[in-house]
Amino acid sequence: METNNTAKSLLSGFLCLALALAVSLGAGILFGDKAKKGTDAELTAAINAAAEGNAGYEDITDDYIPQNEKGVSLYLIKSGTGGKDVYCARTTAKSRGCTVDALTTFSADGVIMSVRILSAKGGNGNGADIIEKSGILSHFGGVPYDSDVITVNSVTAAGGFDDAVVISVNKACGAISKVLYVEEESE
Amino acid sequence: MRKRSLSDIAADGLLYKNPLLIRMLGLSTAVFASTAAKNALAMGLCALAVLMLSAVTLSVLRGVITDASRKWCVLFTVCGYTTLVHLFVRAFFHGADAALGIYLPLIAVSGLCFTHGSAIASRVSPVPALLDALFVGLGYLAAMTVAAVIRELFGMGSFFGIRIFNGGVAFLATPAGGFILFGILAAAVTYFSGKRRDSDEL
Repeated sequence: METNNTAKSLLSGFLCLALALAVSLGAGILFGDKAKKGTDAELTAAINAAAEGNAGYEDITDDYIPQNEKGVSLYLIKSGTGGKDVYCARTTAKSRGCTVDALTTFSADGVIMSVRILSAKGGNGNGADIIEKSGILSHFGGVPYDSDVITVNSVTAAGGFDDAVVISVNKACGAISKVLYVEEESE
Repeated sequence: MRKRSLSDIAADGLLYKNPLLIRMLGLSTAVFASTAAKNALAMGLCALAVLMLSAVTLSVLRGVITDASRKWCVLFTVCGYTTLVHLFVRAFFHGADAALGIYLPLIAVSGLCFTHGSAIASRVSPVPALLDALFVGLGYLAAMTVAAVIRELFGMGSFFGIRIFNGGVAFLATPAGGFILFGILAAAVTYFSGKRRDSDEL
């Protein structure tokens, strides 16, 4: 009797495990591609908003960023008006429990054009609102990638979200310096 | 288990045994998601979907589920459906996925689904299990949305993301403010429902 119960328990456990695996795999097959495209669509929308009238973008991360460097993606945004191309760096940074995913747009000569927050998680309250209210994003516009201002901001950043934004922009500046260095070398 | 009428199931799920305000299930997730009404709505709908899907499955399998394996069966089933819902949200509502972050997949280990699966869904036939899951989920969704509207309106001065006034009581947007608000709402619901909290009786 007890053996029967044990067998039944094992059978039901494995049955539910198999079902859970089947549902998860099925979900991956059904929605996996769309889930990835959803992320891409959000990035495209952010890039379009950051560099208006562009003629598309190209992922150049592998050309400049080592594979072991996590949380940095670089994009070359092609000018749609015959002007110079610009760059975007998508960087993720964490500070005091707050994680920020930011898109920093640079002009061809490495001056920050804008910083947009793609997501702000963790911490207390709505991260995007907190960052917007702090006004920290307005400090970066027009600042060259090698400016000390960005480092100074990391000292004065009030909260975890602000600090994560500054770290994120610093990472973006580090990434763009590699692009500009390679360009200077090739010239 | 005694048979309950539809009105009993509805009243229990929505009010007398409200999972969030009376039985305090899934409270940590609710405190995080209720900083904005849109997030609360998204989280509530996801929890509702997982609850209903796992309730039907566990109910259909109740003949083979034993007392010894019940916890594992509930956990596996809820995990499977949470993955399904998470990927669905990520595919079609990426903004909601980004806003809810880790709290969305955490539905898998939420006391809400686990308790319902163990105590109700894996013990009754599919229709009552589904109805119970529906009203428990709606009770959770309603309580969280009400709390979120209060927190968003008085904490940040907006209503479903639309700015109504500047400023607000920032404390309401913090986890401590959220817990206190849930405490006040729980006290109000307990008082007005006129029934004592009894989380053991299901």
